[in-house]
Amino acid sequence: MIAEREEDRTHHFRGKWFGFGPVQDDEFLVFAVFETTMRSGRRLSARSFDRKKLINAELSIARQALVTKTKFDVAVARRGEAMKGKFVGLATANAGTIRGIFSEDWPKAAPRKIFGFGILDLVEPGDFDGHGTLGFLVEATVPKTRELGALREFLMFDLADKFSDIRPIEECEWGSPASIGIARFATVWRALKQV
Amino acid sequence: MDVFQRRNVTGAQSLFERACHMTIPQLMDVYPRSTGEGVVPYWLCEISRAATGVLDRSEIKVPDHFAVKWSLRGTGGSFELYEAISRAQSTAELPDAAQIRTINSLKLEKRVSLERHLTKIDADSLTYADAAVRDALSVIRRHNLSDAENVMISEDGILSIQWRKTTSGAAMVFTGDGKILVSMAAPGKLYSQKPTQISATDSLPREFLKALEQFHV
Repeated sequence: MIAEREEDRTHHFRGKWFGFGPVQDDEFLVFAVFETTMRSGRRLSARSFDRKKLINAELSIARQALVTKTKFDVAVARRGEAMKGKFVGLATANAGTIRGIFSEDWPKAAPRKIFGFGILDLVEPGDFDGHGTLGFLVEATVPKTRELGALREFLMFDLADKFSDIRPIEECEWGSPASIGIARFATVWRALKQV
Repeated sequence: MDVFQRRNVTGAQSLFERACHMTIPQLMDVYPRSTGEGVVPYWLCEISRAATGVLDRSEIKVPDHFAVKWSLRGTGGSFELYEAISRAQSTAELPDAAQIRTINSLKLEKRVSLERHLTKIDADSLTYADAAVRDALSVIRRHNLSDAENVMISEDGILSIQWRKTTSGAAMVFTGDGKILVSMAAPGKLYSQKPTQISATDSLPREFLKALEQFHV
């Protein structure tokens, strides 16, 4: 679960001077699809996402502009094949669009506006710097009621719809070493301004 | 083994009263005879908690229409429970008139049952999952709903069915507490935005049924 304002700070295990900082709304996220990933033809379905990983905010994604094709191929596609079967392709979605998935006038007992998902720049030892995670926000998971449980199912349907069709790795616009270098510089600059 | 079938009793009435307070495990354990109807999944063998209001799934109050048969011939009579218990009603009433079912609808029904078989449900949500499956089967039968793109059950026993096309879709979620949530998605409208909640005994909203017509697979 992602708490309020948790998306505003960095989650790189080495601290704010490393990685690329919080995920911005204009970024694109990449979801890797393997042979064992459930899907409907060329589209993701709600079944493509591990519910438990979403609840724990552990669903891995890559930040498209902040990773090179080679890096993604080695660190995600090839590494993932060991456990999840052959790499099939990837689906992309805009971070702002995913954050914008919401519900209104729900639950019936206490109607309110509920946003479903948050995205963290979570990088743990062994991850590449353009790694991130996707998960439910606290407001979509607490309290643990049947009504909110039902809402989570709808949120997952919406999440699947927000991703593009599954396509080959070559058709994605990856970051270049130069653009990634600039992004790193910007991250350090932001951290400096906060001091 | 012979607890219910051969126990001597003084009268049929006392036997029936005893049957009314038996528990499910006993029923299942002591009845080894096959009726030829095949094995019935256990979640179909329970009365919906939403229908009865009974939260404890270990005890069942057998209603009058359950088939308790006895014979006064022989040694004081015996009775047998046949598979009528597997026809426990859902939270929704079935229509009186028989209807012609489509193969697509039967397929969806089968997928729902199969999904329940394959999904590992948290122990504390089993009753909800079973009630959700019963409610779903009842709704599918009543409305002859056609096969869907996705059928899934969460670990906490919430069953959802989704029909989808390129830019639009419709979904139903069964929470297992006698409620159904329905929602439709289209460009600019999310599934989660404003779901409609109805009782499992209610008919599905007309506009929802109309929307489903475009998703026939």
